[in-house]
Amino acid sequence: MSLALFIVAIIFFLFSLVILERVRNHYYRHFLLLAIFSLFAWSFALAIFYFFNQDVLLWLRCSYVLASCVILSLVLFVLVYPQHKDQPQLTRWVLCITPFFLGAWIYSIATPWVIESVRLNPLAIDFGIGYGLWLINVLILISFLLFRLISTFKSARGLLREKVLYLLASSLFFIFFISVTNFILPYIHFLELLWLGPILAILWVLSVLYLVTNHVVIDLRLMLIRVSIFLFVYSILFLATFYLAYQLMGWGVWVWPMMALAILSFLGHVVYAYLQNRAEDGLLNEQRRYQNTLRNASSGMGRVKDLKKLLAMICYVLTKTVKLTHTLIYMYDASEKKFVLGASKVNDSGRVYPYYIADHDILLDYMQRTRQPIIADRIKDLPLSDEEVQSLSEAVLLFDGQLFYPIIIERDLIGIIVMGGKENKHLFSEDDLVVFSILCNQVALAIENAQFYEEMKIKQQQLFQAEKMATIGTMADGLSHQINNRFHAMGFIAGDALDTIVSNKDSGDNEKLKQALKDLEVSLNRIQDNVIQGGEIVQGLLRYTRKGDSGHAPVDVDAVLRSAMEMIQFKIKPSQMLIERCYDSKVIPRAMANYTQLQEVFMNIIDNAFDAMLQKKTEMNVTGYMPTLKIYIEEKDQRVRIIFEDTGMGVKDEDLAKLFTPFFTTKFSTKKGTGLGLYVIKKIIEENHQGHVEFITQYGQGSQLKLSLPLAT
Amino acid sequence: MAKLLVIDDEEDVRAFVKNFFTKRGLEILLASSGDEAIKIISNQNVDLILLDMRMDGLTGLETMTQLRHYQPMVKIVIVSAVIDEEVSEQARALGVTGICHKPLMLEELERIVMMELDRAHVGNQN
Repeated sequence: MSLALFIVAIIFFLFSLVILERVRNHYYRHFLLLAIFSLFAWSFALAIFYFFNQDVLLWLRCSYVLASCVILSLVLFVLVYPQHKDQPQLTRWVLCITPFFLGAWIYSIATPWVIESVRLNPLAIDFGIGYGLWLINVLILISFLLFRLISTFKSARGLLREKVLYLLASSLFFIFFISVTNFILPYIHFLELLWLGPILAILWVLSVLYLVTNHVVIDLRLMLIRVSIFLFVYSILFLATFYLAYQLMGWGVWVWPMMALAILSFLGHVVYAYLQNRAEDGLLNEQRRYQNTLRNASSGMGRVKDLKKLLAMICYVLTKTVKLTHTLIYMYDASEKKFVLGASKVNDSGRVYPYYIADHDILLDYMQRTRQPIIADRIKDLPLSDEEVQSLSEAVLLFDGQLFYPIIIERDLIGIIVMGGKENKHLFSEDDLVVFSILCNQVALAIENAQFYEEMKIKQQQLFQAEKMATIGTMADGLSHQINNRFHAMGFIAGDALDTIVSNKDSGDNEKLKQALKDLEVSLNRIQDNVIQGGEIVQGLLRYTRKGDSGHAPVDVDAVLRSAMEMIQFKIKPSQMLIERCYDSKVIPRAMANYTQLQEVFMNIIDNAFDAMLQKKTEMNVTGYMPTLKIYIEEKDQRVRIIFEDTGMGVKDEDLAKLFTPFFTTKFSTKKGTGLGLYVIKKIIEENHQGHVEFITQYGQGSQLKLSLPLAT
Repeated sequence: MAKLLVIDDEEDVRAFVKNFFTKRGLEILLASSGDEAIKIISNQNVDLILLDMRMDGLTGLETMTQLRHYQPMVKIVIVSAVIDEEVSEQARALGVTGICHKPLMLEELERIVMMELDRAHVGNQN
């Protein structure tokens, strides 16, 4: 008995420590400490009541008072529970009322009003007439507690709601049982379960403590279910056993060891769970460590903009942290139409892996179809035919890979990550596979990011190039004038020198001198020719770069075309491309257009046609192929129609849509175009000239660009 | 002796034109800018003016206007680097005699100058 009391005292002491240490809120702390203290005193009183037969009445009365104290402290706790902030009004109210309550209770219980007397053999309590009233009092208090909890529950959201629900459930549960054992049963002279009261109260306080000290967002409902099931099972088991034992042996010493057993088995469960977690933690430490590293790596991936570096980093991280034998990444290369090895990290440098995965490899087929990872060990479990399983296993063997993860961007398979087995030959756990899947999604995003970045860089460069061109354009004007002046001056100088020679070459007898003068004449004539030529070039350039007026005038289309052809000569030699003007140059309709802009359009078209044909010449390697551009001009339906027909590479179907968008280029020439050509053409013809642009192409055969301009009336 | 006023900011142009036409028996007056030209023309009359349109300071058109001010009927041949429609229009409005394009060959220039001077001479004679 004293031992039991001692154990109980220890428990309370521990509780108090826990509360003091982990409960931060003042109110909670005070009320819980009060509850614990009352509980202790209550147990103490009950113990003495049971085991010492002196002053039983006093101790009984004390125990009832203290029981009420416990309930009161818990009510007070509930009063302040959901609101964490100071509520001075409430506190004041509470602090004022409490003494009254306490006083009233102590008084009522101290007098025979509530408890009249106690009979010892058999143990029975005679309750006074006031008992009913007292009971109602306690009931009101409890109802208040429950009412408060329910109203808080209704207005609460999220986690708080869960917590209040939990508190409500546990309070209901425990209050019910405590009332039964301590308030109702004794009334009908069943005192045997009186001692259960404090125990239940301890559990109640325990549950409240758990609520208050646990800030982890766990599903309280789940925990509640678990605890309920647990308690239910345990209660049935133990109560049944207890009852059986009681029937068989009556009340005896056996009760205490039985109780200890019950408590220990309950604790045992807790200890087991704790030990299991720790053991698992130790075992899985390794696993968790690299999963953490991978998690960190995946967040760092987004920052790497260079695609090659990104792939290399992924290989490195995977191989090093998970301690794999090797990691390979294959990326789809559009120009080679294969999946090419983009990056790898191999521990055994002697081993060579395939450089690419061919287009219809079973591995690729499977991945493109299902977009699911392949785990080498589980291939035979896949829903495939036997031969398919066989060939897939063989394909997998080539890479010596255990895991194959697809990299998917917008439902297209763009890459595959191949991972070898662990160096220590351990299995990949389910956790591992989940982490890798997530990692691969991250990888896909990071790659998309890097690709986008690279595209952006290219576009930026194109933009810079275009701006440079524009700047040159503005400079060309001034430069041309300067150059022109030089030619002009040179022309006059040469002319004057010629004049001198001409007037003197036939005078004198010196034959040698005469010959020398004749030679000089020839040279100076050549200089003059060059000056004229130089002048023409500059003229062309000046005409082109001039910020011409945007006005429209009736324009001789043929003249513009010839002018454009003249200009383009400086880029495309006549021997490289044949331009056939397939129309009668005497019957050329005049279009309503801007000379300069139209000239630019024609130059762009001729340039593009040349590029397309050059590409064909090189790619298709046709012997005796002469790039030919045919131009047709005709008047039709009040419009001037101009058709440029080439025999170049044409345009692929998938590129057609983007053809006229700015910065789109498939240019073959080493100085890649700005990609603005077709875009500008479309703009000029359609927006500035109310014209129409039509493009017909056949990949590998050639293209036709049709322009339609308004007829000059 | 016919007088020819050459207005051009290029030294070489002035020097060699002078050389060339002096041999043909013309008196050449030189000006390197519009202002200089106006100064010259305010003191004496000339028969033909060769005007470079693109100069610093006074523009070709402005110079032309000023020249006409002193000698309303003098023949002016302008030499221009570019066929600028607008400028040509304005020049014609001011009564320009001829428009030449750079680079120009001396032979061509000689032909034009002689032709204009003959006309003027004939005109004067009539």
